[in-house]
Amino acid sequence: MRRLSLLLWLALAAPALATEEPDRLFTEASGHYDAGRFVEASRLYDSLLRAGYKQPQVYFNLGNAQFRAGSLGQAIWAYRSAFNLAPRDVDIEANLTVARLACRDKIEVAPPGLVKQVWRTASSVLSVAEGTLLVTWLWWSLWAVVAIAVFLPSVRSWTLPVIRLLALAWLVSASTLTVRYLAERNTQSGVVIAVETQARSAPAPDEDVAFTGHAGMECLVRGQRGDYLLVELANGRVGWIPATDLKLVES
Amino acid sequence: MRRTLFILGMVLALSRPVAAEPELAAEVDFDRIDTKGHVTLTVTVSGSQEALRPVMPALTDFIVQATGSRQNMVVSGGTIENSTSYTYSLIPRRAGALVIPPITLHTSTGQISTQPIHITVTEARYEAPRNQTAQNRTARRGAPEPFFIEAEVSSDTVYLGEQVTYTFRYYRSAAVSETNNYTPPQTSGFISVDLPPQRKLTRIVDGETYRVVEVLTAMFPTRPGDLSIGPARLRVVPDLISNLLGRDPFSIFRGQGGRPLTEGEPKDLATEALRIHVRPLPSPPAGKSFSGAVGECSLASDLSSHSMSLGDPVTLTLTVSGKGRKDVVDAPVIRWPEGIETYPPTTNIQSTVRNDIVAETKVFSIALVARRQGRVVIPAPELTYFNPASRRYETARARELTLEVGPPRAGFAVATPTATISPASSTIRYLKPSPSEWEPGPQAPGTLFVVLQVAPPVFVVAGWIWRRQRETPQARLRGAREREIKTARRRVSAMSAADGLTAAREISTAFRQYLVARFALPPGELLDAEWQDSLATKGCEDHELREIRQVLEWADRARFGGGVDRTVTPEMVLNLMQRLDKCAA
Repeated sequence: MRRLSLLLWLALAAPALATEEPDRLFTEASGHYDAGRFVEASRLYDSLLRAGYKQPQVYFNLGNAQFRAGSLGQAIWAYRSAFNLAPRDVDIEANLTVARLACRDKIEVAPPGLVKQVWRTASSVLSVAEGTLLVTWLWWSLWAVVAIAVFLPSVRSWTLPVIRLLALAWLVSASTLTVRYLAERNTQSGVVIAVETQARSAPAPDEDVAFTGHAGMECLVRGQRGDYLLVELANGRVGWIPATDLKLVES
Repeated sequence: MRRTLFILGMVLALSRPVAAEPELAAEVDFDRIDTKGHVTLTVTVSGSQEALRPVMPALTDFIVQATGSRQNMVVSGGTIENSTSYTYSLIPRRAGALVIPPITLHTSTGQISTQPIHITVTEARYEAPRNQTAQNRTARRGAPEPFFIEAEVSSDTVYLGEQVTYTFRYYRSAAVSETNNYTPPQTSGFISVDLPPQRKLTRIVDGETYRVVEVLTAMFPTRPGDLSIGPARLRVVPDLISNLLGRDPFSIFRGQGGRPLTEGEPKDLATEALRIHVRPLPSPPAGKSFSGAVGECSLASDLSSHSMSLGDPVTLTLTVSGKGRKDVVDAPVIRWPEGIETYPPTTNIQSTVRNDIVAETKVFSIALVARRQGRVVIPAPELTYFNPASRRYETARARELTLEVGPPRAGFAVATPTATISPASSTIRYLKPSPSEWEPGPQAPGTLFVVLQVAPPVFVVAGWIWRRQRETPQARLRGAREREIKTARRRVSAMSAADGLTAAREISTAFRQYLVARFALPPGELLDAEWQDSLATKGCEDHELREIRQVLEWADRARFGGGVDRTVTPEMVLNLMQRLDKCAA
């Protein structure tokens, strides 16, 4: 009986314990930050991420701690990861803008066309997780109304327009989500975390230097060979940089 | 050889000497050189049967070295033309506009002279290399070779980030038809900057005059230790036509290996690898923040405006310039006064090459906003750099700047004065609170996700099939009855009272068909008692039963009595059917 009670207590208390531990770490990290111990704060926020608590608040605070600790590349990486999870968060956007201003590499890029701009805005309103929830909700709603139409023929007069509307909304959102998912799967974003890195024309240390990047420089990762990543800058320049100098943005 | 002498003898036998006035010509290969260069003066005496030698003037501005003479004989149109060329190597003693005075030739009829030749000599553009390391002269073995290359560096020991100049030289004393296969050296641990343009010089090596092409590259080591510069390679293809003299003249017809007949055997030349020792930079002095610059630096500062309104922006420009790469230089250190808000700097870099030394200028533009009125003094910015020449850290300073901040412009909202804002830390927004729920991050779509997507259509389709299977017998019967009723109604409406007996028979049959289908009565002949009981239980009123009976009796009379009256019409029957529909419902 005593054993049964213990098991019951554990079953009930486990979720509470699981919440207490990240809360304690989060609060402790914020305390370090307030005291100016940014490295310690970064370490604790990072431990939360490694424990699987990949939430935008953790990434954001990690970005702040890294920024104030002088690790610009790590800060931009954290802000980018937070922004991917919470694309409408104005605090994340503001800090990411400030961090980018401090970056040494200013890459001039021609502004995108109207269609591309509209597509980017539309597809980035929701995070991938939020988009998935929306598509799932639309899908269930659509089939719920279809069920009503099938089992209650007397109300078909109003169910048919609703079915058409829901089907269109589902089709648009599912297509957008699929295109975005495929695009993100094929091209990952990365941020240079080394103070300086040299992109070479081939994946070897003695090859010609294509360009030099600094902490915080953002790029797309097009491939990998050995210990080198093939990166592409926003202005189209490509080069191979050591994989240890770059951190892939969480998406 | 015997065949050559035979042809030459035949030519001489068929030719006759030409008696003409001698001619004198003088030319130089370059009319513009530097003080380390060298020109070749060629004086040609032609049209004379005697061995006349030109008289050289006093060449005080040059070191003169006679390098030989050559006799030429040209057979043209049955005549023989003789000429003798004398060559001299002239090395300038000074820079400036130098002149080779007229050269004179005394003939039997008098004397002839050339025009003066002007040569511009500039100071050598490159610095004498420090601790120069002479390197390989490939393919030099005993006798002078017509082609060779060499590579050297300005110094074999440098500091991290200090420029070392790599010089590649290609020497040739004979004509070539192709030299386009230059392979630059492989470098590791250097950032290379080309120093164009290529230079063309003339040099005397071991008494042989060579035309030299010089290619310079600035290299900046990026890591300390022993670094190597790989061999440079060059493929040279001699031009047989131009090098014909002194060779077997008929060898040009013997092309080999598919090459053009005028090309000789290609030569692959290579230099040796070079080794550079790169010293690490010493520790910067205490209290100084090293900017990352290696090489002499100067620092200048300026403001876009020295007076401004409160809240207006002004741009502070800091210009770092000097030898070496400056793209790695951090912004100069400034102790910002109170009441000045700064924003992260934007940078612009320009590179120039002076005397083969790379010099760069990096401009930092910093936006400032004053948050208090009055005179603001921006202290002199400082930049600490390492000077390899003095082997120590030095500090460059710009001038102090003064800014007069006036009252804000009308209608301009000014924020409360703030403390000094460090561009790298204080402008970010504060931490976020702890999440209300701690949950693991987004997971990749798993089995549950797929089940959630597939489940709704499966449920709906399964329910529809189940419902359809369950309701099939009843629905089928109901459908059959509905079809019977429709048929009966159509048959009645197709008749008219004028049809007489036919109409009576048709209406009788159709009405009975309707009653069986509408009230689910047993098929066959209906007995009065049977259908009356049945219809009464299904809710038909007495008057409706009477009307039904009336119609059926009318029909029987018509069918069996042979006479038709007009007491029942098709319209009446249809009207009755409508009322019975409601009754059945």
